Amino acid sequence: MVKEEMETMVLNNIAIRARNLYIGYDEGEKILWALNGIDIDIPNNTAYCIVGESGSGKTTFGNAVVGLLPPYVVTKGYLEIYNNRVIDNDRLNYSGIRGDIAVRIPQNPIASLNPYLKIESIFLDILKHHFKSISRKKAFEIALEAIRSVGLSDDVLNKYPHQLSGGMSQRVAIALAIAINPEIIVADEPTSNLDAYLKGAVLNLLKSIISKGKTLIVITHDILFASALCNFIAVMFMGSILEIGRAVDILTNPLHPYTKELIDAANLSYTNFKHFDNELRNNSKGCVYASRCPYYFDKCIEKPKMYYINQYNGAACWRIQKSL
Amino acid sequence: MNSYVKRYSYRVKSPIRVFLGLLRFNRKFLIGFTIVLTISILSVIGLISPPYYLEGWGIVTEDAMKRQGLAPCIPFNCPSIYHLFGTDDMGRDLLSRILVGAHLALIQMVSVIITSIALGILMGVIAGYSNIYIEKIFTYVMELFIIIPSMVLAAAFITIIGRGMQSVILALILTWSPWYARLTYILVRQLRELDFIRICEAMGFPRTYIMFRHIVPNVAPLIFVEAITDSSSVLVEITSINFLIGAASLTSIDLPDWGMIVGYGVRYIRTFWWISFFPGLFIAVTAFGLILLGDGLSEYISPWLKRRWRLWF
Amino acid sequence: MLTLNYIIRRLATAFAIVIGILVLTYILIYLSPGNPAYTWAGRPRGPKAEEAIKMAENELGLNKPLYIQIYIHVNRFFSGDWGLSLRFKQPIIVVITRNLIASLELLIISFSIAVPIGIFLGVISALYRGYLIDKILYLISSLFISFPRFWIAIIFSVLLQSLGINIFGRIAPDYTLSINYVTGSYIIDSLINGRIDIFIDVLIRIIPPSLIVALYPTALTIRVIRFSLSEKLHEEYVKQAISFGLPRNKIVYKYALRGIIPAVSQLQGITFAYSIIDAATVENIFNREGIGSAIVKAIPYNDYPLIIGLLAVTGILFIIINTISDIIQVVSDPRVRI
Repeated sequence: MVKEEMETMVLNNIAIRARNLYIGYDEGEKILWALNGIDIDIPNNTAYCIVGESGSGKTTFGNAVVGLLPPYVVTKGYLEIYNNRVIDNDRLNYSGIRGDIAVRIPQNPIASLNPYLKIESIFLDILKHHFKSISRKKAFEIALEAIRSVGLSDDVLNKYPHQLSGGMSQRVAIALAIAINPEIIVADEPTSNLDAYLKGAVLNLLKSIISKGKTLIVITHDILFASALCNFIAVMFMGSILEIGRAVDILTNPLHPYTKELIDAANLSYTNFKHFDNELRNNSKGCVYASRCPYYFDKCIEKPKMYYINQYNGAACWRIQKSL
Repeated sequence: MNSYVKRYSYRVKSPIRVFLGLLRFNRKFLIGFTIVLTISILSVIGLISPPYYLEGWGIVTEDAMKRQGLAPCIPFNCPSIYHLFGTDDMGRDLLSRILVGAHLALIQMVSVIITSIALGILMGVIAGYSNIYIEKIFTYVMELFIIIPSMVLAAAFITIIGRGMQSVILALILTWSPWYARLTYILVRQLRELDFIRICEAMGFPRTYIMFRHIVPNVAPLIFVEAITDSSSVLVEITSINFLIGAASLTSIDLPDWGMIVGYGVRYIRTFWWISFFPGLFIAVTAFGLILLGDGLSEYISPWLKRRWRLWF
Repeated sequence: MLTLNYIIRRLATAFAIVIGILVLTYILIYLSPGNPAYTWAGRPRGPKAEEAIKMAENELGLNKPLYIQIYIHVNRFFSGDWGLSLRFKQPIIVVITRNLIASLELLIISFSIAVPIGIFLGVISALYRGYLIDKILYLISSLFISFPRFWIAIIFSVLLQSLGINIFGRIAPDYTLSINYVTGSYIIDSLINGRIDIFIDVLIRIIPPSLIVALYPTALTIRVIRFSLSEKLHEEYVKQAISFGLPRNKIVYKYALRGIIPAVSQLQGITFAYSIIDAATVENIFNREGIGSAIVKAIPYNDYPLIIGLLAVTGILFIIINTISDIIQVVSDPRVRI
């Protein structure tokens, strides 16, 4: 029900726009680039998934949206959130973003709650900052409402974080994010640490968030989970986006070989899954996927640009341009 | 794939290369090491041939009696170049006493630290592997000895055993080894949870084998680095106790430990101020060098502490 | 309820350690080379030596079996009869109380200076790690740890003397008889008596020594807070709090600093025991009374009963401090509590 309605909405408002974004970490002797030239437009009121394996830079992108980049970060290009330039070449300006516009749902929920405070104190802290002046009673009501909407009982508010189980604390984290009511919610691998039943519960919760009209960015490594939840999927590998498109199109007709690999691995059809290790002479400038690509040919020494085949779907691969 | 392999391959460095690398790149280690090396060389000189050998050890020679209370060598007003730091009230040359005191200080400190580490690691490892009753007794005894202040214990030993380095060293060993024993005990308990120890236990290796082949090599470097940082506090503690003994002694002292010289010189502070000043200066510099050395080493072991970081939110 | 359980168990352990200290002091007497009575009597020489040794033998009860000796010894301590000090010719309990209160005064004032300054500078050092202010604070804290406090005290006292300020002793001599001693602590007594001039005089005399004794705890606190706070600021819950947009001060103080209370309180407990040495040397130099001067006067006279009494008392004092710090550690962390 939800997906068709989303697609017919006018996707004019762009919530997040990034152009030529490079983000790297300064390790002292060298810089470790996590994002290598990202161009992305995330529209308003959609569920956008970023899929990739570990080390692909998706967590860095999530942190960049929320404002959690550490102080030793090096940036190039620009990132805009609702037309505010948050990252502008090497200046970072997150005033007004953290906690008001963008909030993160963490990967490890128990560790993300302050172990020295009860849950209600955490709610109070957050709400007091968000609403500038709010009475204790009102804040308590909002907290109760948020807790009930994620399906937890009222006495959770009186407990300490270490008394909650993994699923409960993940839901508390989502409740905290709901209570602030931000425009953008970034969910950083929300189900990696949970079992299958809790995966389903969190999936439903996230769907209900979308129905309230927010922009949800889900970072995950599980492409099937992404396809069940989101409208759009972006596939990342070693800091570059390899494919962008609508979820249905990507699953049925993947353009990029890496996407095909991910879908095959997720479907557990290993017959098509082979590991390639190509020799490269000049791998810093070329396609990032070249060393594992089964269709590697000589044009892949040059880095391909994103090539769109229709309004939503595109891939960064020379093969697409060649065949079409 | 190749870039992954190149990024994550390590080469195990030999200790000499590690040491030279530390000297070149780690400034704290470099300064600390030069200071400690200088003091060690001075202490060897003090042991073998200080300028005035007999006076260094405290014996008042006839030459000494002629030059009682000579002031130290102030620039532009140097009475005699041979008495760089002057002489004390009985005429003994202060420089030689300081040099002899250097080697005494180093011997005291090194014997306390090494014995404490050895005893501490032994007791901690054994306690970490024993049954619950021995552990309770162990924690009880450790806490008992950590609580007792070293100074009063040293005073008790002096009264029992007699004056000399032994009482102070014994008191300090009894106070410091339980500290290292407790640290090793905590580390051993943490190590026992790790998989590689559990595998050894499950495979039925004898306990002594696990203890000495697996646990001690993991615990010893950490304790050793901590001990070097603690050694400056140990040095200050030893000299403070000796200071009190020197301040309490009614007759002139013979053993030229730095703290004792300072303690003895307190009564002459208005006239012969240099007796108390220079040995204290040497204690300060040595302890400073030791603490820099220890911090440089611990920076090497935990390199993430070096990264610059400021409050960014 | 787990907290109460833990506190009771901890107090029981503390009491057991107190008994252990007393037993230990007796073992020290018993194990001394030669005749223990000889040591207990203070190594007497001269004509009355034999009498003194015989008296000591009776006091110690050397003819009875060992466990009865220990029992007598422990009983004597609890009943308050600690023997006579050979040097001061007064009951030991009087001597020790007088000196102990003087040293405690000094230590408490030093720690109340050291802990707030240490926490303040340590937080700055952790928040700007690697920058100039941190390097300066690191240098200062290393200097404070490595410079011997007695040496600094000597320099300081010479400086003050050359400026003409006379701050030796605990109280100016002409005031000594003007107040009645209730607690033995001049600060409290002068306030009780209402004599503000004595109070100011005593306060001026206690400030330089307490500044010097405060050097070591300040430096250690700066180092420990710098290390622990840097670690805490990288934890997940702090990052999540940043993402929720909480203000900077609240995150640093309510979230990160709350986590290092156990480490800091444990450090203060241990440092209190170490600082007794600094306090002793500083008392000696500034000519105050206290545990240090008591020991200094006891050693040349071989006043063994006094030393044993001091050992027991300081041990008990430090057990109390350690137990308090342990209880603070447990109470401040809900994960252990509930």
